[in-house]
Amino acid sequence: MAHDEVPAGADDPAMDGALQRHYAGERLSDDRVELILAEGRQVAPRRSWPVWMSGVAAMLMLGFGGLQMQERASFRGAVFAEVAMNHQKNLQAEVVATSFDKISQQLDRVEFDLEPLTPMADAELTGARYCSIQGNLAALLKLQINGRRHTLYVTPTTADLESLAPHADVHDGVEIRMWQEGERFFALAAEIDG
Amino acid sequence: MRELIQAGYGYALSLTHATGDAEDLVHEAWLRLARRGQHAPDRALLFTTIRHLYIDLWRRQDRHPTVEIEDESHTAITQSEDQQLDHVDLTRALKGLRVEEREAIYLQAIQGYSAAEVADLMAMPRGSVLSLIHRGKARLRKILCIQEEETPDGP
Repeated sequence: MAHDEVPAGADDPAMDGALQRHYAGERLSDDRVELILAEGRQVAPRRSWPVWMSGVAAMLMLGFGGLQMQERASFRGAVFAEVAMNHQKNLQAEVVATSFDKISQQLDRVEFDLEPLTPMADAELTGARYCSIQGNLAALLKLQINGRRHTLYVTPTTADLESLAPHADVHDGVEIRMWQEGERFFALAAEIDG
Repeated sequence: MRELIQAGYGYALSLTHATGDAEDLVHEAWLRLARRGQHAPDRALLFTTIRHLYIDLWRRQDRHPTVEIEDESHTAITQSEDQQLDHVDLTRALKGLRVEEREAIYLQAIQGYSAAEVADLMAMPRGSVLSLIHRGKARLRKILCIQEEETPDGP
């Protein structure tokens, strides 16, 4: 791995050297490391498969791998289409607020945090409404980024959604980026020429 | 394996900025991987597991670090006195950064990850990563500079 693509001002060998010395001085004690290793060795995997089962599983995977890939591509297409369509519909906000906290308070059917950890520089919230992604309850947040209309979707991650993130693509002229943060799934949409 | 755990601890520390929480984080991540049969994970898998745990356990529950980094009961600093001062200054300066800035800087400056690799791990665009690194280091320089200016001159 190599340092690359570092913008002007970020390429600072003296600072990097100081940081390297700093973190080199921060080490777990040997006792704690040995404890972690020992406990790790004692932990049995949740499910232990006989060797022959692995062979069967491999054959099944070969047999159904192509089908699964097709299904995943189809699911991805459906999610992209749903996100793009909802963005283009631009339905009126059910909640008008300019902060994640206020929107969370008013969308009381939503039991997950709405604010992404991923920084969204210059984003200005304008409102929100309920929606769904493939049948799962989601929050649709309306925001402006540098004067450009964006729609942010937040929903709890499912196994199907987890297989999609991170991913970015364009569907029907809408640029869509999907990502996952812990147990939450996010999709951000904006029209390319918006 | 020991160095991998130490690297995981450094990464956890960049997230929590608290030694006690970082120890718990890397410990729990290691056990979680072991429960999945991953007794010798690679670095990317360990870091990803630490990151998900941090997001789930620390941020989602709005849990705040309980042990400040100055409590160095589990650290082993072997530096000269000058470097020790440097270490303390940097500890304070790093505390002034946003978590994402500290994390991106750690991965780039300490682990040697490229911007694209950091972007993959942090699940954000490469441009955002470059911006985090740039802003974070600028903020570090500013904080350290302010601290130097605030130091009273001797007679």
